[in-house]
Amino acid sequence: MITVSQVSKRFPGGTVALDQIDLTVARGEFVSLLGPSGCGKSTLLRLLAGLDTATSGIVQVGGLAPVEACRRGAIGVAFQRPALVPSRTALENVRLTLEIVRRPGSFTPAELLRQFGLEAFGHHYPHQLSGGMQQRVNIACALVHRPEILLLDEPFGALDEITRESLTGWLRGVISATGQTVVLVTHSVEEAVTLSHRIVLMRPDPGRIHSVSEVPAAARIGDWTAPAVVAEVTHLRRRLHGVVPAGAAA
Amino acid sequence: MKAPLPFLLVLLAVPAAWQLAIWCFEPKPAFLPPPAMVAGVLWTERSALLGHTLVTLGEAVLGYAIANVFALGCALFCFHVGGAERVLAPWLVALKNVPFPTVASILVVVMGDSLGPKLIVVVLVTFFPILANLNKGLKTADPVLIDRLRTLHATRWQIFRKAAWPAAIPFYLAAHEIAFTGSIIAAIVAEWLFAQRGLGFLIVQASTQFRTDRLFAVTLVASVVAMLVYGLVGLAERRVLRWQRA
Ligand SMILES: Nc1ncnc2c1ncn2[C@@H]1O[C@H](COP(=O)(O)OP(=O)(O)O)[C@@H](O)[C@H]1O
Ligand SMILES: [Mg+2]
Repeated sequence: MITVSQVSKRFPGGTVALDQIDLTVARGEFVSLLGPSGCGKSTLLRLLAGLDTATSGIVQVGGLAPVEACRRGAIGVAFQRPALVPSRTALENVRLTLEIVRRPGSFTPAELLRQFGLEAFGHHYPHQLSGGMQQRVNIACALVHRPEILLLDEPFGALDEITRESLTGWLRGVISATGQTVVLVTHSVEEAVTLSHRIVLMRPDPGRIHSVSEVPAAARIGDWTAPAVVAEVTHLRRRLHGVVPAGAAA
Repeated sequence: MKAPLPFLLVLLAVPAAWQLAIWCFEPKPAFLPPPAMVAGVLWTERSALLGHTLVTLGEAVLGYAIANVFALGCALFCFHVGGAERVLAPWLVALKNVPFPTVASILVVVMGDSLGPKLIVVVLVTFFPILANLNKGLKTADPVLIDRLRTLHATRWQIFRKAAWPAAIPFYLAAHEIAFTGSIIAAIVAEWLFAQRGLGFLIVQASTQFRTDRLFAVTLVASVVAMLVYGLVGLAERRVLRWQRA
């Protein structure tokens, strides 16, 4: 579904955000990009979304160049900051996506909000919603046109721990229902472990893939205190310590 | 009105202070005519005043409409054509900083007492604040939202309509607060130089005849018109931006 081969990204300032990245993501797979900040996670996601172009290498989404995939409405994105129009209600914001891409099989915005537990808030403006609700509306905006691929960049990064935990569980339910291919950027080990099939650990300076690990099915559950989750989180956290640059502590 | 009481206070305090000054200092009516005298002028010359006011208002509104069309066109152009703003900027700065009364004089000499000079002066005065606010407002569009629309392969026009324009609306409305009332003042100044009709003409006529009472009456009318326009803009603003208070 997604193929990244020998991709490098060098910014005009000279920063090498990505260096020789190879990655494939299968249809229906949930892959998380995990790593300390500055390791190029967002840059890689932006390349997949066609928002930026690689300096070298090839990025393909469903066999197409990302921009072409966008043209076909195959990509949905949600970032840390909800991309909502403040003067539109939650429902109107979800409709906004469909005003731009019309695809057969799209969800009905009102129905989607109902499934997301926001039935009573459809006519609320973004500023009247909590951060967690805004993010749910934001994700509804990202998948209302039923794109094959969902790209999420720290969607719960600005939320408090409790909300984040509950939304992580909620997202797992949503994705298992829609069966989409997902690439999630996160710096939360728990989020990555409990959602993903595979976790791509990245390291900075220059941005490279450190290692890729499969998550045991037993860890992809809602309870963050379950032994399988804790064991996997501990395992990953140790590896994460290995990629944080020396002297970057505290 | 959001706060009728403070507004009422102004409406009462100004004539009260005025009358008080008359009683305390007893100036000659040519210096400071008493309110009753001005009220008399307003009443006896009401139809002439109304006629001249409508002339000025007509010029102001028409000129203002033209300024809006130009400013919107210019802002759209700058939004769609990368680098256009940088090329246009020096022209706009030049345009903005030309002293408009002198331009008005030139126009009046060249074009005489026609509608043209008045409209051009109104456009000159109001075009720039509208454009500046529009450009600024369009730039406040949320980059995250624009990125999202780009991944949907939105056209430049769709990005304008769905993201940039909604962001610019509050700025556009704020521009009206300044520029719409400015259009009335600009029209008066243009008439002042050379005209046979309008509030500006009345001012010149009254001052050459040393009719302070009439000057006061005209000033009063002009202020009330400007304030009404301002109130109208405020009303529109509250209506368009009512989602902010929802
Ligand atoms: N538009 C840009 N211009 C220049 N440098 C950038 C730009 N975007 C990101 N970078 C740099 O690229 C590196 C990777 O950034 P990013 O992908 O945002 O990391 P992450 O999302 O993992 O925190 C950082 O060093 C960052 O400063
Ligand atoms: Mg990032």
